Amino acid sequence: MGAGPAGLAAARILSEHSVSVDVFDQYPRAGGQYWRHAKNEPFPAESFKTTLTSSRLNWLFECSIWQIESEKSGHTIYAIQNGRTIERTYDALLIATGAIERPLPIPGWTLPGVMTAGALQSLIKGQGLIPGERIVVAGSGPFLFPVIESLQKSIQQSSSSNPSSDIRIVGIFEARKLSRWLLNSVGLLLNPEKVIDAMRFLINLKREKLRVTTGRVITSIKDTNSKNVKRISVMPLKGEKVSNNPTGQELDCDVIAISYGFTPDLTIPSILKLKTVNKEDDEIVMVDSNQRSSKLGVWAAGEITGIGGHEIAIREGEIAALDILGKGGSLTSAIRKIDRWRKQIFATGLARVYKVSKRWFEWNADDVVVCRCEEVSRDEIINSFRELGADSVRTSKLFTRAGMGMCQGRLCHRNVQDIARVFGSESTKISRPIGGAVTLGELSD
Amino acid sequence: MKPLRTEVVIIGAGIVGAMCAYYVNRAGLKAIVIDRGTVASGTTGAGEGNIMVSDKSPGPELELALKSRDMWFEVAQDLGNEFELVAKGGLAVSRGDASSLFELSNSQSVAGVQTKRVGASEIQELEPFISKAIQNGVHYPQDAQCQPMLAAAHILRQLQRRGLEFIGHQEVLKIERKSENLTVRTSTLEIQSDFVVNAAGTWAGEIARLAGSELPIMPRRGFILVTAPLPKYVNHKVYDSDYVDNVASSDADLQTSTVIEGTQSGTILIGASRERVGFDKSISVSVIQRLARQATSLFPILAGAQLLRVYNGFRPYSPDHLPVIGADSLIPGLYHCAGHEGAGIGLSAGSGKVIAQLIKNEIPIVNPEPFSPARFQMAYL
Amino acid sequence: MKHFKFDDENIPFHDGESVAAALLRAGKWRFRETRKTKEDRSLFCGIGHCFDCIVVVNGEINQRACLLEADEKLSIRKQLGVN
Repeated sequence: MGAGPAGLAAARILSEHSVSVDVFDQYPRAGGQYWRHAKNEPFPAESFKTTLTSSRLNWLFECSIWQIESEKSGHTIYAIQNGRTIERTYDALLIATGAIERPLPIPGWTLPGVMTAGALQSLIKGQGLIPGERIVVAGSGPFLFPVIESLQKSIQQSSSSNPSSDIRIVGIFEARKLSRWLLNSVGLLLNPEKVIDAMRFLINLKREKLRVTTGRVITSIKDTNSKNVKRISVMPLKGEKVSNNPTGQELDCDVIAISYGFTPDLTIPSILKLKTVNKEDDEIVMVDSNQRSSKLGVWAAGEITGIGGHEIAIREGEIAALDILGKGGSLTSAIRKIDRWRKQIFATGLARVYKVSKRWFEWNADDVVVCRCEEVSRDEIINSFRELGADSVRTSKLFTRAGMGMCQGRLCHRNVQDIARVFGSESTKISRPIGGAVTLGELSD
Repeated sequence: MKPLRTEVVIIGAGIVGAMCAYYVNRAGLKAIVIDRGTVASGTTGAGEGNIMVSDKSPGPELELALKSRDMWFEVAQDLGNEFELVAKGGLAVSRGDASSLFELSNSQSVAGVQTKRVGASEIQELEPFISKAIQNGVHYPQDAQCQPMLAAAHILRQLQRRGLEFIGHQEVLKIERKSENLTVRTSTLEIQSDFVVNAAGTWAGEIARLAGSELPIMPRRGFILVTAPLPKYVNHKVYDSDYVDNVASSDADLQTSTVIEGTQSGTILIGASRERVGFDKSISVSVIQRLARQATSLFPILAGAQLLRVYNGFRPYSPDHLPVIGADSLIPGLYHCAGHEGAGIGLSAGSGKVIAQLIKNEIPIVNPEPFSPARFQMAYL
Repeated sequence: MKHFKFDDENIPFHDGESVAAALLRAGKWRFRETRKTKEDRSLFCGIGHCFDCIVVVNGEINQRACLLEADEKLSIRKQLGVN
């Protein structure tokens, strides 16, 4: 399940053996978020091109998996593909459904033109569109780099094909200071190639006369009366809190791309009731060294077992596939496990460097919508704890409807959790009993 | 640890416990409500908020339901309707032979229920999106609905201003009778009181055991399907009349029939699956499909509606499907108010009132005999 | 260039483009109005997770513009609440 880096890496190995494999994905093409590409473009990763055409793999794109039932005879996937019901039973499942981007609620973040960094990336890479002329990229974490890079590349292309076009990045704000990289010194020592990557990126920025302002966060976005132009306030972040020293700045722009990292998409794991653990405040699927989950016949790989990026995801997918083939103890697997370990040290360090402040909801005294679907605000959520007796994300949600809307808490669960923590609440496990889009009509067939 | 002292301890902060607290408080008694979780974290939090008279046959439960329904509106008047209480009305429809539906509604009307037989054109007027195939129905204007979690929370919050105490996260470990007192022991508290009300829903049997008594309350699983927010396609609580037969059934096999209704948040709830499977929380595809099929055949327009969520809860039920309301026959001072099955929201006000009246030795609003715990406890005496 | 309808306007699109991308390219930022506060919303997550970009497609509400491939057969409306 999932044709991103982890799923494809597993499929590549499985396709070399005589097993029959179905690959499910909700999008029309393989690649996941990392190798997102436009319809007419070649697949971005050369080493997977033969995998995509392998006759041993059966691709099920644009599939919405809404339910999985496990019995002795196997795991039955119920999915909808173009209005058609798919019901198939498997001996082994590999879940590689990736992550959900995590933006932080800021007053004004619901205005059109404010989007996740991933959305900007998907428009650039998947649609060949730069959606504005004065663009701000803000948030925290390593994902900002590739977004800025592809934005920059795409701006260059657009100005070379159309000299009158005047698209500019007007601000890049990273919440955390560069000095925090010391927190990942061991990771850097084990992964020296990452230093080269970072240097290359910084040199590139300099050449483009772009500057990343570190230690700054956007604390409000206001609509100006002029067409689609928004005015943002940017303030220094000291530890967990916004400070007024040095004083903040204001800036006009039309597109604001925000990202504070990712949170694992536990929709499918929650349907299968896989055991999860907490890592850096994220709920992740618990797996053993061979990527086996708590359920017999179910493996998990990639971001759902901990946010780490595509390189770890590839290793995990490979390790899972080898174990599915009964080669979990092989040398090939052992080599991959060592590499996974090395990269995981780096990823864990990275999570420390770019740790999201748990008190983001105190950055601005003004109330802010937290659940975008049901339009539930921070103060309503706080009120449910203070006045109504909510004691967890689950009960707060039943009172306020935060997380009960169309997205089923995909965007707000993690953020409501941060607010709940202030009231002594333990984390609520993610529960999304219906995995994907399905209509009553499709269920009635 | 210094024991707390009060007149009444109410175990369970669901809607039944909240209503018991309301009437005990109104009766002038000092009370403490405790719960193993927080307010409405059990069956109440997984319910549709039904306050129905239409699904009950004449008898003691209907009598209680009628009184209880009116009392809900009194509570809303007293404390403020901050829980979406609305008399939306029910519509029972029949696809085939409507004679049993009409027979039921005739007898209900004799028992004091407002009923109105409706034909195809009136049904279309009440529910413009209902299947044209539906020819017969009965309109029940008294059927109402509320948001049960908000109701329990607001009642308890208002009562705290009137002297009630609510303490969450207290799992009961033991209930002991010492001289004139009952002592409720939790992991962190000891509360002495004159009376203990067991309003613990599906855990009521366990609470009875901890007090040295017994009560046959069992969980019955139910699913509710929730759609994405939609336009107001469904105005009433609309149900297949065979639902009424199902409610009274004790066949353990899976039975489903549909109840469909809209909510103030725009979602449509499709419910009334009845399955007796103990405390297993898994969801079955076959039940979901069956409910979806029944819903779309009743309201074809729902075929395009996206299913957002399924939630399942456990309804506490007793062997004869009547709630258990009254004094324990073994332990003096212990009262039970549980086993309301799928009707707990609707029956809660009346049940709470009966409990308060029994504690105060007043004549209850309904004859409490049919609800007495003694009917299951005679064997143990 | 091919077009689809958005309310009363013709929106041009490239082959393989999403409805959301075509709308943004045409400067149409307001995809829907929320139920409670009637606030304008647009593309937000871009990959089908957030349901903020939902529009009415050929009479069917709640359709995600970011996932839907543009097509001449589409008649799209700004979604107002649930209508």
